[in-house]
Amino acid sequence: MTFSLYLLLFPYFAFLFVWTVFSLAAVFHMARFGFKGLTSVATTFVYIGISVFLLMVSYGYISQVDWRQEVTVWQSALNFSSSMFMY
Amino acid sequence: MAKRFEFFFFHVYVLNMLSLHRLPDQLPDEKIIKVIRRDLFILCKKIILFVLLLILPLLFSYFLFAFQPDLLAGSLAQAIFVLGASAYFLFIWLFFFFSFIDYYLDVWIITSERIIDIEQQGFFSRIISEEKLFRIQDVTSEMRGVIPTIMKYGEVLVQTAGTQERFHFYQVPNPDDIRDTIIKLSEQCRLRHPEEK
Repeated sequence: MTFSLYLLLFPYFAFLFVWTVFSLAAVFHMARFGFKGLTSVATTFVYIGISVFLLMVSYGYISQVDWRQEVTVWQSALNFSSSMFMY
Repeated sequence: MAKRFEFFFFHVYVLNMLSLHRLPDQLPDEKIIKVIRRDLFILCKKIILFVLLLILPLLFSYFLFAFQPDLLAGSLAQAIFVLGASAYFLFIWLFFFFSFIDYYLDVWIITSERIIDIEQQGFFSRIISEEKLFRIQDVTSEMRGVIPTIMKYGEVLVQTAGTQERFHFYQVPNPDDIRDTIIKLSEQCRLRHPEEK
């Protein structure tokens, strides 16, 4: 079976959507129920900062893949497993 | 736009947050005696788990690629690896932040007049309960298990008058000291409020 690699992006984007919803809920939670002080604000900004960093790194790697490429599933799987046992 | 953000930030972050130094409905002579969170060891356990979840896949990948350098030669394998790694690291980062929120937002406050229990139960669910110290009838502290005994953390159970449920301070540091403090304060509070006995 042959398909375009970009199809793999759909479940990834679905995951990103759920992740974003939970992240926003977490940040809202800290803002709404956190305690006045540096810890609440600092941890929230650290979370946002590292999340943005992770997303940027992910984008860097994802953009290097040629997503328009067509792949044959079973052929690739066989190549993948045969390369595993090549040595 | 910047002013709007500033207003939003101030409104959400500063005005709505609960201050641990200025309690809601604070009585004129009420003093905060102790603000208690779960033991720091509990947070350390979460951090250690996070670091392990961070390092183990990196080590695993390092050794895998050391023995099998052309593992990601295929475009499908490369795509799955990149998406999987991205999803994995984003997930554990979110998981760690949730764990921190769970730790940070559970607080017990002992004042000279009352005990306040602020507990976060999942998302959008916060329970705040309080009880006057003169209504306290029984305080029990527990340290069960090897690690809690070594690290000196445990539970404090506070029974109040009536059929109300117990206050439960869980995984708090030095539970014996907390029990002694509550007993001492409740006795002092009863002396100040003889009519409430």
